[in-house]
Amino acid sequence: MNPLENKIRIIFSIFYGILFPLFGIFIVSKFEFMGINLFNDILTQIPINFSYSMFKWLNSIFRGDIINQIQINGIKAFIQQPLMQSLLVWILHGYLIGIILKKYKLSLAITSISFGFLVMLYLIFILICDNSFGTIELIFYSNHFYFIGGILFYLISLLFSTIGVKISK
Amino acid sequence: MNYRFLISYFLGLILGNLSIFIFSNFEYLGINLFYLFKSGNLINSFYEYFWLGFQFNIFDLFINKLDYTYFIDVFYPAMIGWLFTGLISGTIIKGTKRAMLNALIIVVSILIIWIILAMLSGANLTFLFFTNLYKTIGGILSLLIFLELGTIIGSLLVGKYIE
Repeated sequence: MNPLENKIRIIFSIFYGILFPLFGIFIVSKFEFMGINLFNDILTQIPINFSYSMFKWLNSIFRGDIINQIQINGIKAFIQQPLMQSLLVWILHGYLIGIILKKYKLSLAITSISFGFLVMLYLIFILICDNSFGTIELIFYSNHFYFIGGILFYLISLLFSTIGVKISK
Repeated sequence: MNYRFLISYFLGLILGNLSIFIFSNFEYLGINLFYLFKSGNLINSFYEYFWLGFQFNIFDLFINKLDYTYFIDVFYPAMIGWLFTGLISGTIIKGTKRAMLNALIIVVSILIIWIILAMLSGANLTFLFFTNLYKTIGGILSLLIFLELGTIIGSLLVGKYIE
């Protein structure tokens, strides 16, 4: 792989890593995920209420809630909304970053960076939307399974990133 | 033919129709995947299962008026399902030519399986290939177009195949 192609692949994978989960969650769910329509509830609402629309958008990608869903629905949770769609998105996120980059360390780093960036953006928009810190408290203290579920999605993404690199070699 | 080709072929064959159901919450054209196989007659169920794979028609989008409900409920799950299948099999197989050939073999295999199942289950093939030719051929061509497109994207992402 020549240096220019390498650079293009890195830049492309960063953009893909950040943008794919945002759009992917709606792509795999016929543009309507958990009652939120990409066009009616997010894209058209951005000019009206930017921070709340962005919060809703970023909240959608972490709504898999893997632990609670499995506790409630058992194994059936894997073929139901929202877990199936969320899993699919994070699997494709890691897998295609691995396929594009073809290097273990680099793909793990880009997967982590893109995931971390999205989490950071999510936290920033929670803070902007809710000055009383009520929502952020709810996520980290009262509803900590939601937060742990998010970390599990990150691990799934890392795993499939490694599988992607292995397949691309 | 190496192991990548075989894995990609069988993955495409299995994932193809299944992914349409995955992208439509396991209910496509009013047919639930789990109820489909509960009916008892397995040959008939598999015939319906493969038949649903090409119930979308790309030419409908150009010839008829673009209908949002048709697009989201019928066309979109099938389109994204075949693109997804092509993408995954394209990343495994490596090399654009090999990937395109593989996609063609997958489509031909699905058609052969479907025709055999149609004969075994006593379906009206005359209706499908003569009276309803536009819909059947349109569906098969749409399937081929999106599967090929997916494999091309997948194989371009993974790079060249070096023996």
